[in-house]
Amino acid sequence: MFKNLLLRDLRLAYYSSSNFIYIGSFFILVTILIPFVINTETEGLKSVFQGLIWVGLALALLLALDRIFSSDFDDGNLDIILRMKVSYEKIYLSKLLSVWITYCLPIVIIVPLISTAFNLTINETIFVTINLFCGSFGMAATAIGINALLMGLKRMIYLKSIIVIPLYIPFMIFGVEQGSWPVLSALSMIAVVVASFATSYGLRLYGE
Amino acid sequence: MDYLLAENLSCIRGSNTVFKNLSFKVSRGQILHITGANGSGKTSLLRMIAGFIYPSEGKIIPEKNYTHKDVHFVGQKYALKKNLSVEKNLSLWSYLYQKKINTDQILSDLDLTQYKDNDVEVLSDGQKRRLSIARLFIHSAPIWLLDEVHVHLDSEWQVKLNHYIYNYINEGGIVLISSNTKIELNSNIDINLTNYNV
Repeated sequence: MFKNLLLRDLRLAYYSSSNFIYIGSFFILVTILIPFVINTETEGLKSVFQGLIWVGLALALLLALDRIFSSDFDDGNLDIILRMKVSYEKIYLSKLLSVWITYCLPIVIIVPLISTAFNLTINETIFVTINLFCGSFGMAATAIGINALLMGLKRMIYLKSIIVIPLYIPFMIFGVEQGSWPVLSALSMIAVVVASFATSYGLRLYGE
Repeated sequence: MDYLLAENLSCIRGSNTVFKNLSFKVSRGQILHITGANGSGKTSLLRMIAGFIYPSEGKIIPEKNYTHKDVHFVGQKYALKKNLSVEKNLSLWSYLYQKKINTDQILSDLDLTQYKDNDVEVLSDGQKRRLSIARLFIHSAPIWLLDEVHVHLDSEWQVKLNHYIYNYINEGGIVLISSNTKIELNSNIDINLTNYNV
């Protein structure tokens, strides 16, 4: 059941415009555009890039906000999903994996590939990628939890963004620090656990 | 499942009591037709039986957590992704129902073969409705819960849908169907929910 749900979400992401290529291209464009408008030296560029990665990830997840649960809620597919013999927690876990694979994995893959263009050393690239890997799960979980609670609000992506962005601040603060992956992992674990309760509660409320 | 029994069901939404003290029993091979004015609780009743809403009072027997193996709920929403083709929508359903779908056969039965590669967005409401009832044939379940499924269908397809329903109850299925307008369906039990409104 869990596998089917995950495969279905990945297939849906592939069919829709939110596939790897679109997310990857979006992220590359965001990171390439900023140095054009910010006049900065090599060292400055390096630190701007490390911050940009997190802004790019946050923007990619904000794009997903109106798709996680909301689209299935609007068109009636959520009725079918909730009648599958699968617990709310497994529905959440499948969403977490599908959102991470669709929106975060392309960025985790692209960052090491383009980091040399921003003069990051191999060591710095490894640290940045590990940070991103550890923090992205928490950010994806946060997006899912908020969306599950607010899925009934149609076309309210701005409200959802206003709620989600402040929750991303801790990830961004620690994300730009080298070697802060243990803190990011802890933040992610907290977010994943809290979001699982929020998602279960949101899905339970759905019928009402 | 030999029967579905509702005992003294009440439905309260917010501060509004939608219906109260509703009881019925539907056995295998029977159709329960639910009618009533707008807001009388037809959809709420079907969603309650499907397990989306908990009864405010009373109970539904058998008491269990209904899944796809027990009920087919076809609501007013089509459960279709409008930006995807008809074929891709069927393929997404195949994951949710965990069944391999013979797309060509289903589309041929529903007279939608020529729209296989078209986005759902370009279909008429009647065609979308036909596609949404395709779910009933993906796998078998002992109960069909059909919420205003005749809406948007032309008279020819209303008759065809009724035949599908008759075939299903002849095989021992239970059907609960709601409608706001007159449908030519020979039901065994009729409930007008307006009589149970408070």
